[in-house]
Order: sequence, then C-alpha cells, then structure tokens
Amino acid sequence: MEILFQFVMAFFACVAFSIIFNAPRKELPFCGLSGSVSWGVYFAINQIFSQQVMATFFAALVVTILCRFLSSIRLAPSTMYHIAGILPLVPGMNIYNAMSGILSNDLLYCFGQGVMALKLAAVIAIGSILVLSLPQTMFYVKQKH
Amino acid sequence: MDDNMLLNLALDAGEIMLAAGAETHRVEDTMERILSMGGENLPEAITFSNVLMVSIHSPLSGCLTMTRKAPTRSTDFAKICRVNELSRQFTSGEISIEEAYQQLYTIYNEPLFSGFLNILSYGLASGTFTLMLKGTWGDGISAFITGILLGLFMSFMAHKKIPYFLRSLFGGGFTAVFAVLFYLSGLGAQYSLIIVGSIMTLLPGVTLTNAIRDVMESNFLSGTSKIMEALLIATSIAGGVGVVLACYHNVLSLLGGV
Repeated sequence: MEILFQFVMAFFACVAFSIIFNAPRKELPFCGLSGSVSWGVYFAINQIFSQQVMATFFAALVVTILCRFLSSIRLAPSTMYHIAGILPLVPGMNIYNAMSGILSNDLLYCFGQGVMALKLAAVIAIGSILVLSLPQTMFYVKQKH
Repeated sequence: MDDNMLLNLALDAGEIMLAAGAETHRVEDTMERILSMGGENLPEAITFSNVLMVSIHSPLSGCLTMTRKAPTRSTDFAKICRVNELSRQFTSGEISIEEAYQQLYTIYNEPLFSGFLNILSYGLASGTFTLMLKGTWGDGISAFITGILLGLFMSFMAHKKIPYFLRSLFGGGFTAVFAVLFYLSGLGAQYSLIIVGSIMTLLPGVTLTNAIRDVMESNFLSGTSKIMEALLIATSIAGGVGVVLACYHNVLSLLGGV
C-alpha cells in the first residue's frame, strides 16, 4: 500500500515539475509516469535492501530505458522524459543534511552527507550513461502510420 | 536558397533550443541539419556553454560564419519539442525557409503556462515531495503553502531580473523562514522535511542531467561549466537555508539563556 501511495505522489510531483518546465500538455502524463517509475524502483529497492546508492543506480538505469522508449513512441526529445524521471532522485535531502551539519559544527556528519550527495549524483550519471550510449536502433518501436 | 538566410535560421533555431535547456548535442545536430539543406556546403555547427557558431562553405557565396551569444536559460520543454518538429519538417522539404522563419518567430514569442497553473505546480511539487520523504500530512500542507509562496516569490524575482545565484540564495532563505514559521505554528512536525520538499523546485536537476549528457557526448567544455553552475546553485540554496536556520537557532538559545 505504501509503495502505491509513493507511486501516486511521485506521479503528481513530476507532473507539477513538468508544468513548471512548460512541457507540452499532451506529454504531461508521460513525464509523470517516468517520474513515478523512477521513484517506485528507488523506493522498492531501498525498502528491501536499504541501500540508497544501489537503489538510485537502478532507478536511473530503468528510467533512462523507459524514457528512450517513450521518446521513440511519442517522437519527442528524450531529454524531457529523462529530466522528469531523474528529478525525484536528485539528492536534496543529503545536500540539506550537509548544510545542517555545518550549522551544528558536526563537520564529520557534513562531510559524510556531502560525499553521499556526490556519490548519488555520480551514480545517477553512470546509470544514465550506460543506457544513453546505446544506439537508438535498440529502442526502436514499430510506428503506426 | 539564400545562404545568409539559412545561417540566420539555423542560429535562431539553435538559440531557442539552447535557451530552453536542450543538451549541446541536440542543438548542434539540429543546426547542422538545417544548414545541410543549402546543398553541398560543408556545414559546421559548434555550441559551447552559451555560444553558438555556424559556418558554411558554399560555392555561391564563399565562406560564411556567424556567431551568437545565447541569452540566459529558462527550461521550456515545449519550445524544444516545437523546434525539433520544425527542423524535421524543414529538412524533409515540407515547409519553405520563409515559413520556417515565421514559425520560429511564433515559437520564440510563445507564452508559458498560465501564471496561476505554474504557481500552483510549485505548491503541488513541494507538497508531494514532502509526503514522499515520509512527512506527515501537516508537513505536506505546510510545504504546499510554502511552495505556492515560493513560486510567487521566484516569479517576482525573475520579473525584477535578479541574478540566478541570488535568486537561489533568497529562495532558500525564504523557504526556511516559512518552514520554521509553520513548524512553530504547530502545523508542521519537522521543518527539515518541509524545507527539503520545497527546495526541490529550486535544485538544479535539469542542469545536472544535461551536464551528464554533455560530458558523455564529449562536450567537456559545456559539461563542466554546467556542473559548476549546478554546484553554485546548490551551494547558494544551502547557504540561504543555512543563514535563516542559524538565526533561528541563535534566537532560540538566546531566549533559552534568559
């Protein structure tokens, strides 16, 4: 039940983001879907293994595959779906924690959280690059004309 | 086809895409496709972080090069999609160069989503992110209201043409003030969750994602400059939040000391 709730929340969050970034109206549900899939994968893996880094990696991997298929189906730039999908994974919590570590003079905590934020960003990059560097023909979906 | 007009068309299309937040590779590719419509002219299109360069070598008018500096960015997916489609139509010969010009002009002047919907989405994004981070419903509602106020504040600052890092700094501080106020009023249970949810709309997720793609396509100059931009924005948001929270803690300890 919890994961369903998270799924729906992520959908609305990413639709809202896409409105802020002025996505075309008919692409909004697909941007939302991309975000909710990435957050769903992240949440499930994080819940089972409690491994934040691994969860982020697989979420980035899955969502990049999804966005390349979406781009080939909808004939729209894949960047749009990719950005919407990556947004929930951006390590905002860790950046905040690093800052609060500086405030409370707990520099060890700050360093740990800062490095964690960098680690998550790097893992998002690796997950995306793995899929983005594959040729487009692998993601070809038969079109109806 | 008039070569000067072709160069101008390519630059206009590239400028709109770059300003709307497309990745470097896509901008270069689109410009080169448009240029290659001029026939055998050795088209070349280069884009750095905010510089566009196009050059052709046509038998008719010799070597031509044009450069342009792109304006500040504001992410706009609709424009990327529209220009993408326009270049596809132009290169397949469906529309003439004059029609393409006219369409680019309409795309350039296209309005954003209505202000009300835009600001409502700031609230919706903030509220749902707080709930995703396992905040209580009270936290979610506080973040929703904070997000709406933040959206109003951000569009006000964009209107006043305040530099982007100051915008992030003030945005972060503004969020923290309202998060603490909601916490004190008893509606929010944890101000940290309200802050994290609300600053999600300010964090440079788009810049980071595009930087990754640029580096991967070996556009290192654009990629590293975007990473620097993302770091600067993230640091200024954290700075804004930090200053407000530090003041709050100091006031608390002062009151506790009395």
